[in-house]
Amino acid sequence: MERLVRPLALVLALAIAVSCTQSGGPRSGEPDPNGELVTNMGGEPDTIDPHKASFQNEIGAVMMVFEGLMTLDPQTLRPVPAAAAKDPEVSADGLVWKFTLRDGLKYSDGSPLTAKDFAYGFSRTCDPATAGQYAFVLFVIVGCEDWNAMDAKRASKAELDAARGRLGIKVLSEKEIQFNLREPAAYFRSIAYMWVGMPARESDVAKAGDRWTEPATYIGNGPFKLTEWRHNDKMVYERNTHYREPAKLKKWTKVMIAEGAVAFAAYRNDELDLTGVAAEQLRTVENDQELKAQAVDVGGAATFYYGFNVSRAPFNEQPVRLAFAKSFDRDAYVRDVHKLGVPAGGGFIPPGIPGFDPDDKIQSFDPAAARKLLDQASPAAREALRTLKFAYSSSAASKTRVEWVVGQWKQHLGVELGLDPVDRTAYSSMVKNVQTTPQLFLLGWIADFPDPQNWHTTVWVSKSGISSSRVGYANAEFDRLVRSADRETDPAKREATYKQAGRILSQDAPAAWLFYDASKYLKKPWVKGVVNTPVDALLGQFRLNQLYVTKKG
Amino acid sequence: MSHYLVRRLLALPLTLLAVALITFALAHATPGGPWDRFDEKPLPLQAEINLNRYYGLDLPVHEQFLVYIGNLVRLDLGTSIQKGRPVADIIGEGLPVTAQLGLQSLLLALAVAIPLGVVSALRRNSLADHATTLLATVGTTIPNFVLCVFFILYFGMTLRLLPFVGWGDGLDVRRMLMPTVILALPAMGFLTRLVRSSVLEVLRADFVRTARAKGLRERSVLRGHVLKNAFVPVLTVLGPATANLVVGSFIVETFFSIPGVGRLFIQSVNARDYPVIMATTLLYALAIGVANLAVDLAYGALDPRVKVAQ
Amino acid sequence: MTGVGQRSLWRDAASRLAANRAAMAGLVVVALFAFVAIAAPILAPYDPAAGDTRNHELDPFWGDPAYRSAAFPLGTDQLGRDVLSRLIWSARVSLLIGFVPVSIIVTIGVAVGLVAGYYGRWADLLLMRAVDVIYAFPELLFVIVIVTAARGTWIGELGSGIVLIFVSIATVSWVGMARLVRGQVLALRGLEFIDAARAMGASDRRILVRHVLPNVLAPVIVAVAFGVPGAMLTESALSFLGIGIKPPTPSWGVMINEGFTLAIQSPWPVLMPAVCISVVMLAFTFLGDGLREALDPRA
Repeated sequence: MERLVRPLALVLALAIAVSCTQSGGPRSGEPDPNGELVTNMGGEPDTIDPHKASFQNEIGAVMMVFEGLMTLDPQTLRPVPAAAAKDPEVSADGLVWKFTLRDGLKYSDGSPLTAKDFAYGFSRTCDPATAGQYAFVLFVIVGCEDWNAMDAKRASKAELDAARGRLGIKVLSEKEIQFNLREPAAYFRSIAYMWVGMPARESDVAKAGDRWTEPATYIGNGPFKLTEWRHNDKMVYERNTHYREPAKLKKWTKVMIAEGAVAFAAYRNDELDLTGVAAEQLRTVENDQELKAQAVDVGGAATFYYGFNVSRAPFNEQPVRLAFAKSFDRDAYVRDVHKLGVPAGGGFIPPGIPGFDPDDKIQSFDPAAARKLLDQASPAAREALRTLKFAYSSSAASKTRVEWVVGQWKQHLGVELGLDPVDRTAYSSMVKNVQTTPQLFLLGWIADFPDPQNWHTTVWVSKSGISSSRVGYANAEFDRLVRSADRETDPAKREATYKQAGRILSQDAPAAWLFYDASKYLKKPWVKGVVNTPVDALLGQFRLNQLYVTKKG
Repeated sequence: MSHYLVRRLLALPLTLLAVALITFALAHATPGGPWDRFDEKPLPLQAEINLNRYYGLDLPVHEQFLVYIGNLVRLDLGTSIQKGRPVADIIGEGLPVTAQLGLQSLLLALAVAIPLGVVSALRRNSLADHATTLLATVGTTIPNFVLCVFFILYFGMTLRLLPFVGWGDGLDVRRMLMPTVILALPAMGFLTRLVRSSVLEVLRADFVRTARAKGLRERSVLRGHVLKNAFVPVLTVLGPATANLVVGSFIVETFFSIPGVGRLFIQSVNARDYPVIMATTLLYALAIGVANLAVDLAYGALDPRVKVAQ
Repeated sequence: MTGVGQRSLWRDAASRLAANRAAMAGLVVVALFAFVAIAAPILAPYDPAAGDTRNHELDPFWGDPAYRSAAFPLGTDQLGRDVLSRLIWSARVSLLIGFVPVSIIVTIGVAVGLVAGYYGRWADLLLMRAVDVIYAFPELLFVIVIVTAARGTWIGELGSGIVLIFVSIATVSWVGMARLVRGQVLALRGLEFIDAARAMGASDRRILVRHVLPNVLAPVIVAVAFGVPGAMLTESALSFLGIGIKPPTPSWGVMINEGFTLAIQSPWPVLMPAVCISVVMLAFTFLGDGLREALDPRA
């Protein structure tokens, strides 16, 4: 999520009013039961409604306060029970899923939490009146897609109610909830951890309407409760004493400093306990022993790639695409240009995510092989190559990045490309579908949940895939493999099938994998117990209750 | 007088309507919509359809305008597309902060400009006069985002003297110091120059010479005649100056992460958040209109020579 | 008759201006600035838009010895572009932004102001309603709305967005000029020499061009002297906000915007363009003050 306007950047305010409570003095290393953490959340999240959230900072805010049926194991990223007492019971045909809740679940205000609350959460996401952006991940539930496609304002109440009634979500008892799926979707375990199914309380939403996300009614079942939200300034969270494993931290204040340079200065002033490091600050961190020791690297669940429009010359020819994919030095790109991140050394799925295939060397840097591939290009493709342009969302930084790769193709393939800078908003609407997408452009994908389904199927399946629909890619064999893997119940066989599909994708090369996202942050020595994963929308998201600060004195 | 007042009061809503129409047309003519900020992950088609229905964006634009005006008349500013919250809430949170910042800057500017301008006029062509004029010119000239950068770098980061992020509860003087001073500087410079030149003008006027000839002491001439009359031109610019300070704070708010309404405008333009674009623009137009009206009336009351029914 | 009087008036004004040291200093800076802007292709050692990522974030010659290079006396930005060359080329953008919109404003504003002031009636009424509406918008915000509306269209692409900035500044500012001229004309209309000219059978057009226009020029010149830096300020604010000149074309506002992220590690990429804008703005203001005093000795 790039910002159009830099100073808006600075924008969203914050008061570092609360300078952190733990400065100076020896520390015992034990968690301080009254410990307070101050971090920066950048800009104010547009919404913290779990059924409308879509950006990382929004999802992160939801995860502070809510817990789903499942969560992810931070080591393996496999779904494990959270509010659910155990793994779901799945029918033999894989279509009926029953989750049983733990005993004694409570909201942060002490009132009981039942299966009905979860049912409300899931169905609210499907409800067209909610207009949630992530409804599509629940389309696998029977009736969700049909209901979601209705016009909530113009359809009659009877029609809407009938559609709601056809939704495949049933409350079997206080503690049991059952889902009927359209297909045997093994990945539904992962979906059950997502924000789309968080048990918001119907009475809160009904009472406060659009304003229900304010602290008084934003009541959840997660490790923290939101106690104060001063808009564009800060959000204050406190330990939820009713959570099944109460957090070690008492209070967590999140200020809103959107400009990285300002946040970095605040961190050095001990006003923040954690802060992200941008490429601009790397040199400062490298040259400062103290900062260097506080730096932590984390992987990211994102892949960036050059997309080829396969419906137009020259990229309608696979050898040309593969030649382009094999003729730029990804290591040099990360070292000289992007500075953060990991060179793509495998397929589409990044390291840390199930389905990562480090042995996929199909697109690895090999100028000699690339030139041989390019020799197979047809005369029409050669003609198209002479006028080829690289379209990009115009900014100084992207120009440098694009210029770099254009230089590589010139050096290794002898192909000279023009640059086509396009205004950002225009670019956004241009790359929406294959008729208007340029021949060559930069794309990226960030995981919603760590399952290969969310990568291969969601992004590359013919026609409906997020990227395939933009570049016009379709391969029947690929579709067959991912569809069968989506339904496969044996985990080992499932992963192997996805990997097989991934190889086809790399060989077809509708895109050239560029780099996998990674980031770096700084952490004060008194902050302990941060468990990072590549899919964190929020630092330490899957073990928030383990995080603590050590005692003063 | 009352006829004039009525006419001006009637003109205000018409002007606001014109402003609303122009802004609405331009905002909707701007390429891209509220959903085009989803760069890497385009919104699923069904989600976009549902969102458009939710916010009434599926209607033809002219109908949307009529709906908007209809709601506006009932004082309903709509729901922010970006934030999903009532626009009135969002403005209600930011406006007190912006107004406080603007007004205290104006007071600071006046408190400095009036004595400085008067002294500078009375000691015309002295070193102090030249220094004041130079400083006043510098104050009006340097772009405020340049001042913000200088102040943050020097007082905030290098000297670590003052905090430079946030507003706190609006009572924290150290936190408010830099943004208030930066916002006040241009007004301060401008007002100093204005006070100086209008005092000079008055000093040359006949009635002052008469007063002096009558043997009145310099101090009472100054108090009784000069200052009162010199203040009239200052008053005329106070209206636009107030409006400008309230409106002009958006760059300062941006730099100092102040949760006011100033930044809302730019944010909403970028996000194509139509209800917020409309609300902020109308709010500014209203502020300017009311400030000008108030000054016109005060001007007429203060200076009997001005006929209000021009 | 009026000709002789006019000429000596102008001569007096010129000598008063020449005697004003602050205005002369301003004039020198403005001349230097114009020279740099015009000679940018000769003066700038490098292409301001081309960077080499291997030479990025170099300090200026007085900075950290580990991070500087004699080849880039004022250092490089985070994309490895020469700061000196970018500063020089930015002067060119600022010069264009300073003068082109103001010429449009003067042309339209003077014409409309003359007509409205001289003929009155519906022309006047129309002008004053336009004034009401445009003045109801805060100026910069109106410019922002226009710029974003047209940024993605063909006009937004012309000259890296410069043309669009010309047009939007002119759209918002011409009414001020028109109102100024109208006021002057209204004041002149009742004066004897106009009546005399009419009595002698001069056409309206001749009266407007020969008698009215020369007499409204002085305030117009003063307004131009302040309008030029005003337009530059608007451009730098827009560019600073990221909606002005499109990268990689440099402008001082763009440089401040891009440099701020680096400000902690190295404040120079922000400070240098900031100083440039401030000095040029100050020079224009001194010159404008001098012109006003010279042309209107009472003030």
